[in-house]
Amino acid sequence: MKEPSVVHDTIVVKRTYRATPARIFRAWSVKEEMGWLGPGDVRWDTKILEQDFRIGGRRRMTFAAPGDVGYAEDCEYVDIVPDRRICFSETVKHGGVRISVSMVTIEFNPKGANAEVIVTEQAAFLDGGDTPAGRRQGWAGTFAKLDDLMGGTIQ
Amino acid sequence: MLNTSTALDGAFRALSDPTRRAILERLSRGPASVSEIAEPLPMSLPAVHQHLQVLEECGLMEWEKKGRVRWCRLDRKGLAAAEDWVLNRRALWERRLDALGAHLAKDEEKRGGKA
Repeated sequence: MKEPSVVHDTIVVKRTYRATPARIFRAWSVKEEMGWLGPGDVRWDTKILEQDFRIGGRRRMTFAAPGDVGYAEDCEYVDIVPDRRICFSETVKHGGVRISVSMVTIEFNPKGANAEVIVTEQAAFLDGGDTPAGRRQGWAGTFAKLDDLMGGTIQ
Repeated sequence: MLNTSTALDGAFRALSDPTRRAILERLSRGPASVSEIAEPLPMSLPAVHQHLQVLEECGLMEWEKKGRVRWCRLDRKGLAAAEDWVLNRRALWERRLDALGAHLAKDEEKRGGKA
């Protein structure tokens, strides 16, 4: 067994949308609205297994590119301020192996007629499972991922 | 906003083309001559050459000369850089927020449709 290791990182991503905070909050909370929350391409096999939107409730998702063992993302909601903020803890497993545990905060800030979304993920990456070397599944998986991604939503 | 280098931009532009992805997939099984690469592709040899040149320029492919034949070989370093970005957690959030934008834009389309 390899030596346990942890790498900490904080990721902040912001976007401004032409929509109200309430509208965007709904897209983060109602299961039927959450199809976009896959890894960015509809051809990945993405499933929302559970979406229990309340403090202490869980969101469970799985997603996999063709030829890959797939990821399982389990979240527990720890703070919800309607239309303004959602905080959840998140565990990601790849092929059953836990690769990261995180605290994720989503903020919805009104900006005139628009709204800014700020995603902050404070992550502990475990045992190198989320490093490129740890995640690399062989080139077949890589091409499946790249092909899906490039053929997909990214512009 | 994105921590992408110019090289990575080039790699993704190159990868945005299905023919070039097909070529890379062929090369992932081992080096190939230009004519071998061109054989299954529905285009002229000069067109294939152009695609190969793009792949070479952005560091996804290398030329290898064996005797009088030029062989093409995957440049794993360039490809690994592109893959690292794809699998990166920040990139995941970027893509998700792009997808959220597309989802929200459907509201406007619906409104536009009614008006």
